[in-house]
Amino acid sequence: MKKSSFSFESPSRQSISAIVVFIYNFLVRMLKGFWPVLLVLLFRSSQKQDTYEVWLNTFILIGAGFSLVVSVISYFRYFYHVESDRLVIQQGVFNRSRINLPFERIQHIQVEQKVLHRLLQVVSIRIDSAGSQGSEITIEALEREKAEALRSYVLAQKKEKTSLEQDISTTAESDFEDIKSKVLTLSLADLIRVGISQNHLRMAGIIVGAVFGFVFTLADSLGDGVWEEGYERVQDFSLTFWFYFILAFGLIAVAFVLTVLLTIARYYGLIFSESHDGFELKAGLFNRRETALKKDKIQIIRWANNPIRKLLGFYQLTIRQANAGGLQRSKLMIIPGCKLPQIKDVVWSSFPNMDQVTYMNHRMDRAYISWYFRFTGVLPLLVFGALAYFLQSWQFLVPALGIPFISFFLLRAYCFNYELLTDQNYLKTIKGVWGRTYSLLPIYKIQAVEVQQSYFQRKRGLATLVLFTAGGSMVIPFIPQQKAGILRDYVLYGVESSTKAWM
Amino acid sequence: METPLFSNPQVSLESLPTIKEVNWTRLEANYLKVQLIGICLTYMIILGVFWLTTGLRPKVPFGFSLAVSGVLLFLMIFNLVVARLGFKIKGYAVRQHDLMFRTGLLFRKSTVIPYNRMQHSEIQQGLIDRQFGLSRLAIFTAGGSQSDLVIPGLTHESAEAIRSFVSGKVSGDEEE
Repeated sequence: MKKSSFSFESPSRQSISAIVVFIYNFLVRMLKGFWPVLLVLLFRSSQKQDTYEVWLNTFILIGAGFSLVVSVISYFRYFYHVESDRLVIQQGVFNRSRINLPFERIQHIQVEQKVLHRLLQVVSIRIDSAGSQGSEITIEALEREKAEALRSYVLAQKKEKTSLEQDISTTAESDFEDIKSKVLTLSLADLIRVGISQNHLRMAGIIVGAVFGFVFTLADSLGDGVWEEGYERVQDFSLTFWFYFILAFGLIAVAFVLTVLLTIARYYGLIFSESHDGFELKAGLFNRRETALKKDKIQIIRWANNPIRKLLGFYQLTIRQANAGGLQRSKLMIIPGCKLPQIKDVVWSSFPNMDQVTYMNHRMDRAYISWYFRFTGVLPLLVFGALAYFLQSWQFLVPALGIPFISFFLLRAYCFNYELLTDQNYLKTIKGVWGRTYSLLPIYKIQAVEVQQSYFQRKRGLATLVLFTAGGSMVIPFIPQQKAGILRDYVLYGVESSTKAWM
Repeated sequence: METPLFSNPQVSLESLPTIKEVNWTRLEANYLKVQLIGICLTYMIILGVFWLTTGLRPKVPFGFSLAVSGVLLFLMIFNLVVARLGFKIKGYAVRQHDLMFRTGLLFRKSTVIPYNRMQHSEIQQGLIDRQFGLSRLAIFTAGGSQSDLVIPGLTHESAEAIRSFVSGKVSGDEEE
């Protein structure tokens, strides 16, 4: 690989633009924390403030000014450099800290460019490392060439280090310079289709939550009188069925438009490409993100459709990678708008011997329905039934009968649609009520097996099996306990006899 | 089995070691006391907080406070009984290639972690544990806390012994 023209040996600062980024981050933090206060100040500008308020506001202003100064100084106190086998970050205004990150522990380097970064023509780098102290390091602003050089330098060092220790020839680390082939790009029409097929109900839920949160915070900071006043105003509307209908319809419409727009912004100019040992995804209209992952670190591949996606003939593909140490969220790459040939492409090139796969089918026991119906059917019936009886208000009968009815059909559909496919080297599940979610997992990636049995399952000789990997888990509910035992023994045998690197 | 699980297994499934043959090692008897004391303390704290914040307020009817206390006491007794009955189910097994732990009276759960998938281990000691000279062994795997395992109620020596056995296995695998 070519020698980089930059030297990372001596401690150096970030690009001077980092100051702007810091100030911007500071302002965003402030706005997020204090917007109700600011709104109140705006509304009440005419009124006289009492002494208490003056003092409070002065304190807030002093505090804000102080932390602004701190965030500017922190730029001058932040250094990064490379020592023989590690990346070193020194930072901190009051408490100096030094982070050592050995190259072999670096999992993943991600280059990101938000709108502000684009204006300043810099990028930010995020470095994830393995290990229990699961640390994530961010270098906020670097010139692009410098960032690229640092990334390839670190990855090259990492490769050298690993190949010295173990003799890996086939699964060598990539130096991010080999030939990439495009797997998928999305046109604007594709993007609109993807946007239409997203979950609009979830967006509607988010909107409702956001509106409520907004109203509560505002009401809190404006004082007590607001609630009564607001309630009186609402009383003026005639709260008929049609009012609610139009409200719900409007909400869904807004949610629909928003999801489509957000999806387009998020996946605009999507390029999903494959190199010999990894995948790379670039997408985004305002915030352009580049994610890369290694094929041998992939744990689970999932692809899912829903009724709309089924109609349009595509799936959303999710690739789960081993996540770094203590971090809760796992590393994943989401590629929308994939068709079956592309999914097959990804799966076959990530997991070996897919051509020899022969699956055996298994289904879950129907006792699943009666067990969960106790909680989603019988319990609502009792609660709402009791409310209807004791309060003598018969509208409670609608949920008392409706919830059990709906939940029965959902549980039934889930139970009957669930499929487990077992192969010598792979496990695959197919599940879903409205659409289908396919999950594929190589057995040797599993790192813990759990057999769960409630008293209900024990009586019927059933068990639920949970298989954990470093990038999420797979649940196999309500199978005969004998089968669960054999499956567990087989999985353990596969894992314990495997010498392949699993993450 | 009538239907085979795998069409082309490399080994015959009958020859695989099955988990039914495992001898579970019970936890130290003192750990039951640790659990019972822990449950009592937790409920006492909840009760105390309840009485201080709501129970003693003049507006709150006395009967209501008594009813809440009664429910809490009932839950505490239920928890104590479950802990007592479930204690003989809790157990661990150190096998050649993996570590197992079993727990749960009503909802039974047994977890297996192979040695070659463990990241690191830790010996921990809670406040009540210390009074009885007990330790707990925590095993960490990669990728978040989902599949981590804690074996409580061990003497410090046995926790140390299991840990050194396990870490010997982990590093031994890497050298192979």
